[in-house]
Amino acid sequence: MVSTDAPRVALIQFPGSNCEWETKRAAEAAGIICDIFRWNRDPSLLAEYDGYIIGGGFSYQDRVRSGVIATKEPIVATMFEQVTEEGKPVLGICNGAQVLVEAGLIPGLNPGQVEMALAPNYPDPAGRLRDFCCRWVYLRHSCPQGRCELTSHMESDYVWPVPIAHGEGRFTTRTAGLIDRLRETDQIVFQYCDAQGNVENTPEINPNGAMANIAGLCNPEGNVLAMMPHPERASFVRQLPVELGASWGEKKREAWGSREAMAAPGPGRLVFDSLREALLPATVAG
Amino acid sequence: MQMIELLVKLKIPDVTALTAAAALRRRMGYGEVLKELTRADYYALHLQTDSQQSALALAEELAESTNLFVNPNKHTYELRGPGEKVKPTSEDGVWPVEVLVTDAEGTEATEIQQALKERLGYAEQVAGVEQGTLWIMKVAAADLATARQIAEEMAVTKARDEGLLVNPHFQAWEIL
Repeated sequence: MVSTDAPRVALIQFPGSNCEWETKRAAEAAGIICDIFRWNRDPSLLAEYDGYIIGGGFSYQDRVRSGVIATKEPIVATMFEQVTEEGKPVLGICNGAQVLVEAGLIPGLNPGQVEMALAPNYPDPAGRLRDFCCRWVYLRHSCPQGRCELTSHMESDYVWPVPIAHGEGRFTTRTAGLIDRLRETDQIVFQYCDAQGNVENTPEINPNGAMANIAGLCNPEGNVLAMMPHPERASFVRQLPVELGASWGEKKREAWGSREAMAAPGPGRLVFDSLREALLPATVAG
Repeated sequence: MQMIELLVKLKIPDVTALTAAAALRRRMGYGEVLKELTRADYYALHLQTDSQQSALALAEELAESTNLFVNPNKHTYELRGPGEKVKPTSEDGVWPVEVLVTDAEGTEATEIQQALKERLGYAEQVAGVEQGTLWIMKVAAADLATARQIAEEMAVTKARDEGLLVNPHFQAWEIL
Protein backbone atom coordinates (compact mmCIF):
# COMPACT_ATOMS: atom_id res chain seq x y z
CA MET A 1 0.00 0.00 0.00
CA VAL A 2 1.39 3.39 -0.98
CA SER A 3 1.40 6.07 1.73
CA THR A 4 -1.17 8.82 1.16
CA ASP A 5 1.53 11.47 1.53
CA ALA A 6 3.66 9.81 -1.15
CA PRO A 7 4.45 11.79 -4.30
CA ARG A 8 1.84 11.64 -7.03
CA VAL A 9 2.27 11.17 -10.73
CA ALA A 10 -0.29 11.33 -13.49
CA LEU A 11 0.12 8.49 -15.96
CA ILE A 12 -1.38 9.94 -19.11
CA GLN A 13 -3.60 7.52 -20.95
CA PHE A 14 -4.24 8.19 -24.63
CA PRO A 15 -6.59 6.19 -26.82
CA GLY A 16 -4.36 3.26 -27.75
CA SER A 17 -2.16 3.26 -24.64
CA ASN A 18 -1.79 -0.32 -23.44
CA CYS A 19 0.88 -0.43 -20.73
CA GLU A 20 -0.75 1.80 -18.14
CA TRP A 21 -1.66 -0.83 -15.58
CA GLU A 22 1.70 -2.56 -15.34
CA THR A 23 3.41 0.84 -15.31
CA LYS A 24 1.13 1.96 -12.48
CA ARG A 25 1.97 -1.26 -10.61
CA ALA A 26 5.71 -0.68 -11.05
CA ALA A 27 5.42 2.95 -9.92
CA GLU A 28 3.34 1.99 -6.88
CA ALA A 29 5.88 -0.68 -5.94
CA ALA A 30 8.42 2.16 -5.81
CA GLY A 31 6.20 4.13 -3.41
CA ILE A 32 4.56 6.52 -5.86
CA ILE A 33 0.85 7.30 -6.01
CA CYS A 34 0.09 6.80 -9.69
CA ASP A 35 -3.22 7.95 -11.15
CA ILE A 36 -4.18 6.93 -14.65
CA PHE A 37 -5.21 10.25 -16.21
CA ARG A 38 -7.30 10.16 -19.38
CA TRP A 39 -6.16 12.44 -22.16
CA ASN A 40 -9.53 14.19 -22.45
CA ARG A 41 -9.82 15.29 -18.82
CA ASP A 42 -9.39 18.95 -17.90
CA PRO A 43 -5.67 19.50 -18.56
CA SER A 44 -5.40 22.09 -15.78
CA LEU A 45 -5.77 19.23 -13.28
CA LEU A 46 -2.28 18.10 -14.25
CA ALA A 47 -0.89 20.92 -12.12
CA GLU A 48 -1.92 18.95 -9.03
CA TYR A 49 0.65 16.26 -9.79
CA ASP A 50 4.35 16.16 -8.96
CA GLY A 51 5.32 14.56 -12.27
CA TYR A 52 4.15 12.53 -15.21
CA ILE A 53 4.55 9.24 -16.99
CA ILE A 54 3.57 8.52 -20.57
CA GLY A 55 3.57 4.79 -21.01
CA GLY A 56 3.76 2.41 -23.89
CA GLY A 57 1.21 1.43 -26.48
CA PHE A 58 -0.05 2.86 -29.72
CA SER A 59 -1.55 6.28 -29.07
CA TYR A 60 -4.07 7.01 -31.80
CA GLN A 61 -3.15 3.66 -33.35
CA ASP A 62 0.19 5.17 -34.47
CA ARG A 63 -1.73 7.01 -37.19
CA VAL A 64 0.51 9.23 -39.36
CA ARG A 65 3.50 8.15 -37.21
CA SER A 66 4.06 7.02 -33.67
CA GLY A 67 3.20 9.57 -31.00
CA VAL A 68 2.64 12.57 -33.25
CA ILE A 69 -1.15 12.92 -32.99
CA ALA A 70 -0.96 12.81 -29.19
CA THR A 71 1.46 15.73 -29.14
CA LYS A 72 -1.20 18.01 -30.60
CA GLU A 73 -3.58 17.39 -27.69
CA PRO A 74 -4.10 20.13 -25.08
CA ILE A 75 -2.99 17.76 -22.33
CA VAL A 76 0.49 17.58 -23.85
CA ALA A 77 0.65 21.36 -24.12
CA THR A 78 -0.15 21.61 -20.40
CA MET A 79 2.33 18.88 -19.49
CA PHE A 80 4.93 20.67 -21.62
CA GLU A 81 4.44 23.84 -19.54
CA GLN A 82 4.61 21.95 -16.26
CA VAL A 83 7.83 20.25 -17.31
CA THR A 84 9.63 23.20 -18.86
CA GLU A 85 8.42 25.96 -16.52
CA GLU A 86 7.96 24.12 -13.22
CA GLY A 87 10.74 21.58 -13.75
CA LYS A 88 8.51 18.60 -13.00
CA PRO A 89 9.88 15.23 -14.10
CA VAL A 90 8.38 13.16 -16.88
CA LEU A 91 9.21 9.62 -17.88
CA GLY A 92 8.29 8.51 -21.40
CA ILE A 93 8.43 4.81 -22.09
CA CYS A 94 8.25 3.46 -25.65
CA ASN A 95 5.23 5.24 -27.14
CA GLY A 96 5.72 7.78 -24.38
CA ALA A 97 9.27 8.33 -25.63
CA GLN A 98 7.90 8.84 -29.13
CA VAL A 99 5.50 11.46 -27.76
CA LEU A 100 8.31 13.28 -25.93
CA VAL A 101 10.50 13.38 -29.05
CA GLU A 102 7.65 14.60 -31.28
CA ALA A 103 6.71 17.16 -28.60
CA GLY A 104 10.21 18.64 -28.70
CA LEU A 105 10.97 17.77 -25.06
CA ILE A 106 13.71 15.34 -26.11
CA PRO A 107 16.51 16.09 -26.69
CA GLY A 108 15.13 19.48 -25.68
CA LEU A 109 18.05 21.70 -26.64
CA ASN A 110 15.44 24.09 -27.99
CA PRO A 111 12.30 23.02 -26.15
CA GLY A 112 9.37 22.59 -28.47
CA GLN A 113 11.51 22.18 -31.58
CA VAL A 114 11.51 18.71 -33.09
CA GLU A 115 15.21 17.88 -33.29
CA MET A 116 15.08 14.11 -33.69
CA ALA A 117 12.89 11.22 -34.74
CA LEU A 118 12.14 7.75 -33.52
CA ALA A 119 12.18 6.24 -36.97
CA PRO A 120 11.14 2.76 -38.07
CA ASN A 121 13.56 0.02 -37.05
CA TYR A 122 16.41 -0.14 -39.52
CA PRO A 123 15.66 -2.51 -42.39
CA ASP A 124 19.04 -3.68 -43.57
CA PRO A 125 19.87 -6.98 -45.20
CA ALA A 126 22.49 -7.81 -42.58
CA GLY A 127 19.85 -9.32 -40.36
CA ARG A 128 18.97 -6.31 -38.24
CA LEU A 129 15.47 -6.66 -36.85
CA ARG A 130 12.89 -4.76 -38.80
CA ASP A 131 9.26 -3.93 -38.33
CA PHE A 132 7.96 -4.71 -34.86
CA CYS A 133 10.67 -6.11 -32.62
CA CYS A 134 9.99 -7.70 -29.21
CA ARG A 135 12.84 -9.19 -27.19
CA TRP A 136 15.11 -8.71 -24.20
CA VAL A 137 18.15 -6.49 -24.62
CA TYR A 138 20.87 -5.12 -22.37
CA LEU A 139 21.30 -1.44 -21.59
CA ARG A 140 24.28 0.44 -20.25
CA HIS A 141 23.66 3.46 -18.06
CA SER A 142 25.98 5.71 -20.04
CA CYS A 143 25.75 9.01 -18.18
CA PRO A 144 27.20 9.92 -14.78
CA GLN A 145 25.01 8.95 -11.86
CA GLY A 146 22.71 11.85 -11.03
CA ARG A 147 22.96 13.49 -14.49
CA CYS A 148 19.40 12.41 -15.19
CA GLU A 149 16.93 12.74 -12.32
CA LEU A 150 15.12 9.64 -13.45
CA THR A 151 18.15 7.36 -13.17
CA SER A 152 19.69 8.82 -10.02
CA HIS A 153 19.50 5.42 -8.27
CA MET A 154 21.56 3.78 -11.01
CA GLU A 155 25.33 3.75 -10.97
CA SER A 156 27.15 4.90 -14.06
CA ASP A 157 27.99 2.01 -16.43
CA TYR A 158 25.35 -0.19 -14.76
CA VAL A 159 24.32 -2.92 -17.21
CA TRP A 160 20.81 -4.33 -16.97
CA PRO A 161 18.40 -6.47 -18.96
CA VAL A 162 15.07 -5.07 -20.11
CA PRO A 163 12.59 -5.90 -22.86
CA ILE A 164 11.93 -3.82 -25.96
CA ALA A 165 8.74 -3.97 -28.03
CA HIS A 166 8.52 -1.46 -30.85
CA GLY A 167 8.47 -0.94 -34.58
CA GLU A 168 9.56 2.70 -34.58
CA GLY A 169 12.32 3.01 -32.02
CA ARG A 170 15.41 4.12 -33.88
CA PHE A 171 16.72 7.38 -32.44
CA THR A 172 17.93 9.36 -35.43
CA THR A 173 18.48 12.96 -36.45
CA ARG A 174 19.51 15.06 -39.42
CA THR A 175 20.63 17.90 -37.19
CA ALA A 176 24.35 18.20 -37.84
CA GLY A 177 26.51 17.64 -34.78
CA LEU A 178 23.58 16.81 -32.51
CA ILE A 179 24.79 13.36 -31.46
CA ASP A 180 28.24 14.76 -30.59
CA ARG A 181 26.58 17.45 -28.54
CA LEU A 182 24.43 14.90 -26.71
CA ARG A 183 27.59 12.97 -25.86
CA GLU A 184 29.30 16.12 -24.60
CA THR A 185 26.35 17.03 -22.40
CA ASP A 186 25.88 13.46 -21.12
CA GLN A 187 22.29 13.37 -22.33
CA ILE A 188 22.72 9.84 -23.66
CA VAL A 189 21.32 8.00 -20.66
CA PHE A 190 21.00 4.46 -22.00
CA GLN A 191 22.78 2.66 -24.83
CA TYR A 192 22.13 -0.81 -26.19
CA CYS A 193 25.02 -3.09 -25.22
CA ASP A 194 25.88 -6.74 -24.70
CA ALA A 195 25.71 -8.50 -21.33
CA GLN A 196 29.22 -7.27 -20.55
CA GLY A 197 28.37 -3.65 -21.31
CA ASN A 198 30.10 -3.40 -24.70
CA VAL A 199 28.36 -0.86 -26.91
CA GLU A 200 28.70 -2.04 -30.51
CA ASN A 201 26.59 -1.27 -33.54
CA THR A 202 25.71 -4.81 -34.52
CA PRO A 203 22.22 -6.20 -35.15
CA GLU A 204 22.52 -8.45 -32.09
CA ILE A 205 23.32 -5.54 -29.76
CA ASN A 206 21.64 -2.51 -31.35
CA PRO A 207 18.37 -4.08 -32.50
CA ASN A 208 16.84 -1.11 -34.29
CA GLY A 209 19.97 0.59 -35.66
CA ALA A 210 19.72 3.67 -33.39
CA MET A 211 22.40 6.31 -33.82
CA ALA A 212 25.11 5.82 -31.18
CA ASN A 213 23.11 2.80 -29.90
CA ILE A 214 20.83 5.26 -28.11
CA ALA A 215 18.03 3.62 -26.13
CA GLY A 216 17.26 6.53 -23.81
CA LEU A 217 17.90 10.28 -23.75
CA CYS A 218 17.32 13.01 -21.21
CA ASN A 219 16.85 16.73 -21.74
CA PRO A 220 19.60 19.20 -20.76
CA GLU A 221 17.98 19.83 -17.36
CA GLY A 222 17.76 16.08 -16.66
CA ASN A 223 14.09 16.07 -15.65
CA VAL A 224 12.79 14.43 -18.83
CA LEU A 225 13.72 10.88 -19.83
CA ALA A 226 12.58 9.19 -23.03
CA MET A 227 13.44 5.51 -23.27
CA MET A 228 12.30 2.90 -25.76
CA PRO A 229 12.75 -0.21 -23.54
CA HIS A 230 10.14 -1.04 -20.89
CA PRO A 231 11.46 -0.78 -17.30
CA GLU A 232 7.98 -1.59 -15.97
CA ARG A 233 8.35 -5.04 -17.51
CA ALA A 234 11.59 -5.61 -15.58
CA SER A 235 10.46 -4.24 -12.23
CA PHE A 236 9.83 -7.54 -10.45
CA VAL A 237 11.94 -10.70 -10.37
CA ARG A 238 8.89 -12.66 -11.56
CA GLN A 239 9.02 -10.78 -14.88
CA LEU A 240 12.58 -11.82 -15.72
CA PRO A 241 13.20 -14.82 -17.96
CA VAL A 242 15.44 -17.52 -16.51
CA GLU A 243 17.12 -17.63 -19.93
CA LEU A 244 18.83 -14.31 -19.15
CA GLY A 245 21.40 -16.29 -17.23
CA ALA A 246 23.98 -14.48 -15.11
CA SER A 247 22.81 -12.77 -11.94
CA TRP A 248 19.25 -11.81 -12.88
CA GLY A 249 18.47 -15.19 -14.43
CA GLU A 250 19.90 -16.83 -11.32
CA LYS A 251 17.75 -14.66 -9.06
CA LYS A 252 14.67 -15.78 -10.96
CA ARG A 253 15.73 -19.40 -10.64
CA GLU A 254 16.31 -19.01 -6.92
CA ALA A 255 12.95 -17.29 -6.51
CA TRP A 256 11.09 -20.21 -7.99
CA GLY A 257 8.23 -21.22 -5.64
CA SER A 258 8.51 -18.17 -3.37
CA ARG A 259 5.89 -15.46 -3.75
CA GLU A 260 8.00 -12.96 -1.79
CA ALA A 261 11.15 -13.62 -3.79
CA MET A 262 9.24 -13.35 -7.05
CA ALA A 263 7.88 -9.94 -5.96
CA ALA A 264 11.38 -8.62 -5.21
CA PRO A 265 12.59 -5.70 -7.34
CA GLY A 266 13.94 -6.35 -10.81
CA PRO A 267 16.50 -4.07 -12.45
CA GLY A 268 13.87 -1.76 -13.97
CA ARG A 269 12.71 -0.77 -10.47
CA LEU A 270 15.70 1.58 -10.24
CA VAL A 271 14.06 3.87 -12.80
CA PHE A 272 10.90 4.15 -10.69
CA ASP A 273 12.91 4.54 -7.46
CA SER A 274 14.73 7.42 -9.17
CA LEU A 275 11.43 8.90 -10.33
CA ARG A 276 10.11 8.80 -6.76
CA GLU A 277 13.14 10.70 -5.54
CA ALA A 278 12.80 13.23 -8.37
CA LEU A 279 9.19 13.80 -7.31
CA LEU A 280 9.92 14.44 -3.65
CA PRO A 281 11.28 18.01 -3.90
CA ALA A 282 8.21 19.04 -5.88
CA THR A 283 5.99 17.56 -3.17
CA VAL A 284 7.87 19.35 -0.42
CA ALA A 285 7.77 22.61 -2.35
CA GLY A 286 4.06 22.21 -3.01
CA MET B 1 11.80 3.69 -69.82
CA GLN B 2 8.39 4.91 -68.68
CA MET B 3 7.28 6.01 -65.23
CA ILE B 4 3.72 5.36 -64.16
CA GLU B 5 2.27 6.49 -60.83
CA LEU B 6 0.02 4.01 -59.04
CA LEU B 7 -2.19 5.47 -56.31
CA VAL B 8 -3.94 3.00 -54.02
CA LYS B 9 -6.74 4.17 -51.73
CA LEU B 10 -8.95 2.48 -49.18
CA LYS B 11 -12.57 1.87 -50.12
CA ILE B 12 -13.65 2.31 -46.53
CA PRO B 13 -13.12 5.59 -44.65
CA ASP B 14 -9.41 6.13 -44.10
CA VAL B 15 -9.15 6.65 -40.34
CA THR B 16 -5.54 7.83 -40.59
CA ALA B 17 -6.49 10.64 -42.96
CA LEU B 18 -9.54 11.47 -40.86
CA THR B 19 -7.44 11.64 -37.69
CA ALA B 20 -4.81 13.79 -39.39
CA ALA B 21 -7.49 16.12 -40.71
CA ALA B 22 -9.09 16.39 -37.25
CA ALA B 23 -5.71 17.20 -35.66
CA LEU B 24 -4.94 19.84 -38.28
CA ARG B 25 -8.35 21.47 -38.01
CA ARG B 26 -9.16 21.17 -34.31
CA ARG B 27 -5.71 21.32 -32.73
CA MET B 28 -3.50 23.20 -35.15
CA GLY B 29 -5.68 26.03 -36.41
CA TYR B 30 -6.30 24.95 -40.00
CA GLY B 31 -10.08 24.62 -39.63
CA GLU B 32 -10.81 27.36 -42.13
CA VAL B 33 -8.30 26.44 -44.81
CA LEU B 34 -8.14 22.64 -44.89
CA LYS B 35 -11.27 21.65 -46.79
CA GLU B 36 -10.38 18.01 -47.43
CA LEU B 37 -7.58 15.58 -46.69
CA THR B 38 -7.27 12.14 -48.20
CA ARG B 39 -4.37 9.74 -48.54
CA ALA B 40 -3.07 7.13 -50.96
CA ASP B 41 -0.28 4.61 -51.00
CA TYR B 42 1.98 5.90 -53.76
CA TYR B 43 4.10 3.80 -56.11
CA ALA B 44 6.30 5.04 -58.93
CA LEU B 45 6.63 2.15 -61.37
CA HIS B 46 9.68 2.38 -63.64
CA LEU B 47 8.83 0.17 -66.57
CA GLN B 48 10.85 -1.00 -69.56
CA THR B 49 8.30 -0.48 -72.28
CA ASP B 50 8.41 1.25 -75.65
CA SER B 51 5.42 3.54 -75.15
CA GLN B 52 3.36 5.15 -72.45
CA GLN B 53 0.33 3.19 -73.60
CA SER B 54 2.08 -0.16 -73.14
CA ALA B 55 3.46 1.07 -69.80
CA LEU B 56 -0.08 1.87 -68.63
CA ALA B 57 -1.24 -1.58 -69.74
CA LEU B 58 1.61 -3.24 -67.83
CA ALA B 59 0.94 -1.10 -64.76
CA GLU B 60 -2.71 -2.14 -64.85
CA GLU B 61 -1.65 -5.77 -65.02
CA LEU B 62 0.67 -5.30 -62.02
CA ALA B 63 -2.10 -3.61 -60.05
CA GLU B 64 -4.77 -6.14 -60.99
CA SER B 65 -3.00 -9.45 -60.86
CA THR B 66 0.07 -9.49 -58.63
CA ASN B 67 -1.63 -8.92 -55.24
CA LEU B 68 1.34 -6.78 -54.27
CA PHE B 69 -0.27 -3.37 -54.53
CA VAL B 70 -4.04 -3.71 -54.50
CA ASN B 71 -6.44 -5.89 -52.53
CA PRO B 72 -9.67 -5.51 -54.50
CA ASN B 73 -11.71 -6.24 -51.38
CA LYS B 74 -10.56 -3.03 -49.75
CA HIS B 75 -8.70 -0.89 -52.27
CA THR B 76 -9.36 1.20 -55.33
CA TYR B 77 -6.54 2.38 -57.53
CA GLU B 78 -5.66 4.98 -60.11
CA LEU B 79 -2.86 5.07 -62.68
CA ARG B 80 -1.23 8.28 -63.85
CA GLY B 81 1.18 8.73 -66.70
CA PRO B 82 3.68 11.57 -66.66
CA GLY B 83 1.76 13.62 -69.18
CA GLU B 84 -1.58 13.25 -67.47
CA LYS B 85 -1.10 15.63 -64.58
CA VAL B 86 -2.89 18.87 -65.33
CA LYS B 87 -2.14 22.21 -63.67
CA PRO B 88 -4.31 22.47 -60.54
CA THR B 89 -7.25 24.79 -60.83
CA SER B 90 -9.29 26.46 -58.12
CA GLU B 91 -12.89 25.62 -57.32
CA ASP B 92 -14.33 28.60 -55.43
CA GLY B 93 -10.92 29.48 -54.04
CA VAL B 94 -10.07 25.91 -53.00
CA TRP B 95 -6.91 24.44 -54.51
CA PRO B 96 -5.84 20.81 -54.76
CA VAL B 97 -2.32 20.22 -53.46
CA GLU B 98 -0.52 16.90 -53.22
CA VAL B 99 2.25 16.21 -50.73
CA LEU B 100 4.37 13.15 -51.38
CA VAL B 101 6.08 11.77 -48.26
CA THR B 102 8.88 9.26 -48.66
CA ASP B 103 11.58 7.66 -46.55
CA ALA B 104 14.59 9.99 -46.66
CA GLU B 105 16.90 6.99 -46.46
CA GLY B 106 15.55 5.36 -49.60
CA THR B 107 12.37 5.18 -51.60
CA GLU B 108 12.99 1.79 -53.17
CA ALA B 109 10.25 -0.78 -52.53
CA THR B 110 12.80 -3.55 -52.18
CA GLU B 111 10.53 -6.45 -51.30
CA ILE B 112 8.00 -5.60 -54.01
CA GLN B 113 10.75 -5.29 -56.59
CA GLN B 114 12.20 -8.58 -55.47
CA ALA B 115 8.84 -10.31 -55.72
CA LEU B 116 8.13 -8.87 -59.15
CA LYS B 117 11.51 -9.72 -60.57
CA GLU B 118 12.43 -13.00 -58.89
CA ARG B 119 9.09 -14.66 -58.19
CA LEU B 120 6.56 -13.28 -60.63
CA GLY B 121 8.62 -13.11 -63.82
CA TYR B 122 8.75 -9.35 -64.44
CA ALA B 123 12.54 -9.09 -64.33
CA GLU B 124 12.85 -7.60 -67.81
CA GLN B 125 9.84 -5.30 -67.70
CA VAL B 126 10.13 -3.75 -64.24
CA ALA B 127 13.22 -1.64 -63.74
CA GLY B 128 12.27 -0.38 -60.32
CA VAL B 129 9.52 0.50 -57.86
CA GLU B 130 9.57 3.43 -55.46
CA GLN B 131 7.03 3.97 -52.72
CA GLY B 132 5.67 6.64 -50.43
CA THR B 133 2.49 8.14 -49.04
CA LEU B 134 0.57 10.74 -51.01
CA TRP B 135 -1.47 13.23 -48.99
CA ILE B 136 -4.09 14.92 -51.13
CA MET B 137 -5.30 18.22 -49.73
CA LYS B 138 -7.90 20.77 -50.72
CA VAL B 139 -6.74 24.11 -49.40
CA ALA B 140 -8.61 27.42 -49.37
CA ALA B 141 -6.21 30.16 -50.44
CA ALA B 142 -5.95 33.25 -52.62
CA ASP B 143 -3.78 31.48 -55.18
CA LEU B 144 -1.99 28.22 -55.86
CA ALA B 145 1.35 29.43 -54.53
CA THR B 146 -0.23 30.31 -51.19
CA ALA B 147 -2.09 27.00 -51.10
CA ARG B 148 1.18 25.12 -51.66
CA GLN B 149 2.86 27.14 -48.91
CA ILE B 150 0.05 26.35 -46.44
CA ALA B 151 0.20 22.68 -47.43
CA GLU B 152 3.91 22.58 -46.68
CA GLU B 153 3.34 24.27 -43.31
CA MET B 154 0.72 21.68 -42.43
CA ALA B 155 2.95 18.85 -43.56
CA VAL B 156 6.43 19.46 -42.20
CA THR B 157 6.89 19.00 -38.47
CA LYS B 158 9.27 21.61 -37.15
CA ALA B 159 7.92 21.98 -33.64
CA ARG B 160 5.28 20.49 -31.35
CA ASP B 161 2.70 22.89 -32.75
CA GLU B 162 4.03 23.14 -36.32
CA GLY B 163 3.45 20.50 -38.96
CA LEU B 164 2.09 16.98 -38.77
CA LEU B 165 2.65 14.71 -41.73
CA VAL B 166 6.45 14.57 -42.10
CA ASN B 167 9.26 14.24 -39.60
CA PRO B 168 12.18 15.64 -41.59
CA HIS B 169 14.69 13.68 -39.51
CA PHE B 170 13.79 10.50 -41.36
CA GLN B 171 11.32 11.47 -44.06
CA ALA B 172 11.49 13.52 -47.26
CA TRP B 173 8.64 15.43 -48.88
CA GLU B 174 7.73 16.98 -52.17
CA ILE B 175 4.85 19.28 -53.02
CA LEU B 176 3.61 17.92 -56.33
